Amino acid sequence: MSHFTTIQTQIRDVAALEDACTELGVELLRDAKARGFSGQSRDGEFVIKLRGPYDIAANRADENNSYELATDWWDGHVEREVGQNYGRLIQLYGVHKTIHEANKKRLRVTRKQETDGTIKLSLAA
Amino acid sequence: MKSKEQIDVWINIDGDITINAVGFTGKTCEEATAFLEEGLGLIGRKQRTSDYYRKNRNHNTNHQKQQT
Repeated sequence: MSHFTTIQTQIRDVAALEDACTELGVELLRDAKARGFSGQSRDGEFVIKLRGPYDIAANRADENNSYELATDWWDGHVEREVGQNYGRLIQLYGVHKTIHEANKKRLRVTRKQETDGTIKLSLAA
Repeated sequence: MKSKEQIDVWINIDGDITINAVGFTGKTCEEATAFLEEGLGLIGRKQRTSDYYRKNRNHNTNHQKQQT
């Protein structure tokens, strides 16, 4: 053990977001409208089209920022698909972003699911 | 990366990430994980273990430590 770092994940990499959506079994649309309660909608640079009645919009304040997610949490539809506070979506984004970065460095990645839902990736030469 | 060096990355169900660099000595651990930290997001705490403060040695000492 040499050092531990904790990180609050930020969504910046669209390819990794796309892979996360694929793993979740949902579509990532570009320049679309996210469905909300009662026919309302919200524009997204990207929209994660969920199986339920509402979608998630992803927008950046400007090009240097990370994507902010917005959705309609009404009635638990979105939470059922992506977890509380988008947890599952952000988790899978983190997983795929890590895999992409490891691949760039030609590192081997082993993926393991832990019993509390944590995903562990080990990177080695 | 050398053969005994490894980077472990835990991503929990809230999407928070913990990175542990194993088997490195001195500052090489931070250099090794920088690419991940920069790519993934806002860095929180860094906790350095005793390996960080050990200088590189010519002969191989036993670097095996307990993993949490």
